[in-house]
Amino acid sequence: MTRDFDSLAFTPGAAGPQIVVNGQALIERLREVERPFAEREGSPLIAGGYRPLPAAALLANLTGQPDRVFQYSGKVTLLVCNCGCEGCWDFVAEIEQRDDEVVWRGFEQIHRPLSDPDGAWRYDELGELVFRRSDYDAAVRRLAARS
Amino acid sequence: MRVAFTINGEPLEADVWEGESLLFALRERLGLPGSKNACEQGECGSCSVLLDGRLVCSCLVLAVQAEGHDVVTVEGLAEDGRLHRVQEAFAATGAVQCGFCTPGFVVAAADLLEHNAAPSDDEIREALSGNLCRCTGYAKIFEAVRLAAQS
Repeated sequence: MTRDFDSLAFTPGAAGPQIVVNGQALIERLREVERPFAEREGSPLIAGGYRPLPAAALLANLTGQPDRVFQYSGKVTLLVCNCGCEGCWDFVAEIEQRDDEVVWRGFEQIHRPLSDPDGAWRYDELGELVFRRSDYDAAVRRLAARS
Repeated sequence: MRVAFTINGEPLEADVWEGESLLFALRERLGLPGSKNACEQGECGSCSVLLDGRLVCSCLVLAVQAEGHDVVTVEGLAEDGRLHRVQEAFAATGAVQCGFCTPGFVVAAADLLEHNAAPSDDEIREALSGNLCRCTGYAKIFEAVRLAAQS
């Protein structure tokens, strides 16, 4: 049985590389997913309020060598607050590196954690993102070459 | 249009829109998000930078007006891997709550001490009067500036 893999790309930007999953910028996808939660809080504009990580930090996180300061229960930062500060409003995920695929799961906003029964922002809509290992490595290599 | 300036000692160029602020260019074109984007009307000081050594709100300066000029942002205050004495003092005194106003205060305080090595409390108050802290952490901020002045 063959499976459909998700696609991953990084587009250049002055603020940092944009993560693009299945043809859509992850920030834009999060704006959709977070909107109901943000509206519930009366602050719809904070949905998707993220900024790319600097390339070096993103590369470190994607390749399993994250900055030790910003680790959350084994999860690594994919996006930071739109103010530009790491650790301020991070969007994190668990990254599992397998021989033939790489899986992103456990998406979480650090200040609306899944452990909060009342206030958690949930990302079930994203499900697990599963990338073919060879494609993932190629995307990361291209990112590294541009950085 | 293309603009060339010196940012934190480094000659840089950026493609900007004619009406674009220096703040936007710094944050979104040049990857320098230290200067914060808050009021965008020169009220809060969170976007403070030094333009040819003068303290300005980068939200009120057009990027094209900075053509050929020297800009120092909060990222450019540290030298040789060492924090500026104002940055060290802010850390030592805990003069940070949410942190959003901090870069602007740090730049304004550094500018004050550059021109006045031993400011009085009134002079500190005057120098920081263009910077707002919505957490109202002014006491610690003043303590930090006094400490930096002594160091």
